[in-house]
Amino acid sequence: MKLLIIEDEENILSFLQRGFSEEGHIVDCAIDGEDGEYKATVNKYDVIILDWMLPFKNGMEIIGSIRKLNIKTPVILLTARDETSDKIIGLRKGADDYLTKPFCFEELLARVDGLHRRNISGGNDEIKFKNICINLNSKIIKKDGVAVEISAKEYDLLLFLIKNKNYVVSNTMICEGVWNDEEFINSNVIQVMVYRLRKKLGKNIIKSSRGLGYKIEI
Amino acid sequence: MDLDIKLKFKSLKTKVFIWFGGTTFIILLIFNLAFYYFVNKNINLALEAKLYAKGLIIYKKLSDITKTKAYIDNKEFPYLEIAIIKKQKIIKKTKKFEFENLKKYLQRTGNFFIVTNKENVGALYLMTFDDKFDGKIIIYQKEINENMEDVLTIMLILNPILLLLLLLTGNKMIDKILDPIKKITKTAKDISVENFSHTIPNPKEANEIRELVNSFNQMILRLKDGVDKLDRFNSDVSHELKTPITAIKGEVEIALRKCRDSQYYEKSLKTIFYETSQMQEIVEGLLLLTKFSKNNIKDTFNRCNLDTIVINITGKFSQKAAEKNIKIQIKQIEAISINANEPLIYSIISNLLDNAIKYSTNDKSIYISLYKKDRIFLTIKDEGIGIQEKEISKITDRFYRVDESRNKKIKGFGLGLSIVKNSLELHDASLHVSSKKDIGTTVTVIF
Repeated sequence: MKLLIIEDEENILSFLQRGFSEEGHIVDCAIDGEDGEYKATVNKYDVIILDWMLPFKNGMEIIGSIRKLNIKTPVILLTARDETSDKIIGLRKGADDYLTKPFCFEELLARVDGLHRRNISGGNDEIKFKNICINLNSKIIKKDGVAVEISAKEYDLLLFLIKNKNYVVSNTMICEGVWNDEEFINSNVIQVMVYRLRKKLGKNIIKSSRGLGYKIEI
Repeated sequence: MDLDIKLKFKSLKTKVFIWFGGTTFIILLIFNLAFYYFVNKNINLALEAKLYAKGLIIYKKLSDITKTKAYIDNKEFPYLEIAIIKKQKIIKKTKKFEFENLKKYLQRTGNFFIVTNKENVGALYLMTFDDKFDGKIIIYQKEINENMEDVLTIMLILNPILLLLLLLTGNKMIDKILDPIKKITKTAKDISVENFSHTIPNPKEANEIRELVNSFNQMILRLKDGVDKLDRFNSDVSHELKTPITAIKGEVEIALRKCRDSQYYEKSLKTIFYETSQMQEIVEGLLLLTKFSKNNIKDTFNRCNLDTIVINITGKFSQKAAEKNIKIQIKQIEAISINANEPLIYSIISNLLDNAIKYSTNDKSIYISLYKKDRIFLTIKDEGIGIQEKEISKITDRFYRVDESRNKKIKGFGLGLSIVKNSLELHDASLHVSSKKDIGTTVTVIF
């Protein structure tokens, strides 16, 4: 999935970025409030990890402005404030989860996964369509009840398409949502991925619209 | 239980009660003895007068001896025994006149004697006449003690009753006096670090107890203030330490997820080293804040040359100032020495100068002057970002940082000025800050 981490402590930002990247996620970073707000409003993310105390614009202001723009990306607040009243303010303002510093990276990872899962499937552990069943916890995909081997990137691409189900997503959108790096834009990596997914799951799962992109119909 | 009894025995009430009871008892005793003595004396005087009068009556009738005999036999004074002595011999007496040691009394000077026998107490009056009668009349009353015995009995019955009544009222009064103290005790028992909500209701009339209650209530307020400060301080500390702890914990957790190459570990360790240095800085700052108190600071005082210290620190910071192209100019400096704790003076001036550099933009100047008018003045003037007026009073609070400084990403924990203020207070010196936003700040230390 694609994450935005807004955190002003460089060392904290650094390990978060490494940790999430190693988990196969695409991580965007912002070191202050203004940069973070800009990135959050311009790009699409699956989850935003947000520090409360930030230079220029604090976490609350950022949540306020992105919710105003009707961006429903799940936000997890990360802060040293551990008073219950602070948690309540944060959650009421529109944060979806709250984790106090110091925290365990594994816990943050699990919470971020949880937020992402809820966002895609509305809280279900499994997504079922046609003869495909995707378990979001174990990341196991079954076709007609038989497990299918699938790479992490293919899985991300599949989820990205499911997230935008019934809509055509362009190569550029896929590129931003799954890879983040512009270097693939001129390559045929996406085409190859789609080809492999179709081969594994069935040809009619992913539909192509010539010149526009791909879509999954559920 | 044992302790309770012990406490009760030692309690203020018991003490006051014993003192009150004892004093009352002694006063009562003295009063009674005096009373008894005076009453006794008065009765004796009255008796003497009575016997004397009788004696005179008898003497007047003595012209005729036969008549006298008749008179003596008369039952007019049945309680009196009379004898007439001529030439050391009893020549006439009433029937019941018996007296063992008469001669002893006859040789004594004086007229009136109280005679104590085995059975009773009597009174004897001797009248001596040198005229043609030439003899003595003895008037003897066998029993006189009835009246006095009555007085004694009344005293013995009345006094314990009186004492008891006094003690009972005393007990009530002591209870009434001690009542506010009981209330204070109750409130004091309810007070804990978590609960300072109680104060003691003040008695209406102004007295010593009211003063005590006032002082006690003020003490509660001071304690509350202190505990509040401590609470805030604790939460500040934990908050400030959380950031480096998060960074260290996360760094380690990520590093341990997989096998890494040595370069990775080196970078991780460097990060951890940096963060632990940050923690050390916070903790040392806090220690500096709490290590010295007004009581123990004087022992650490020695003679410090302020001018030397100022020049040393200016030299130390010139490098840091040069990085931002800031000029530090000493405008005025006099040779001044004071009694002070040198490390603290160093930290005061260093912190102030460090702030001046931190909050100055590039290419500005900082002016330092040290001079003596009736007191010693040290001013550090910068042309930095300044502080808003409403923030000035707060800048010396622990961990307080003006929002702008967070925004502009100037490093620091907000401990510096708090250390300065605390250290200055220990030296009976004061800090004055005047500032205009975007124009600059002038900090003056007055020793």
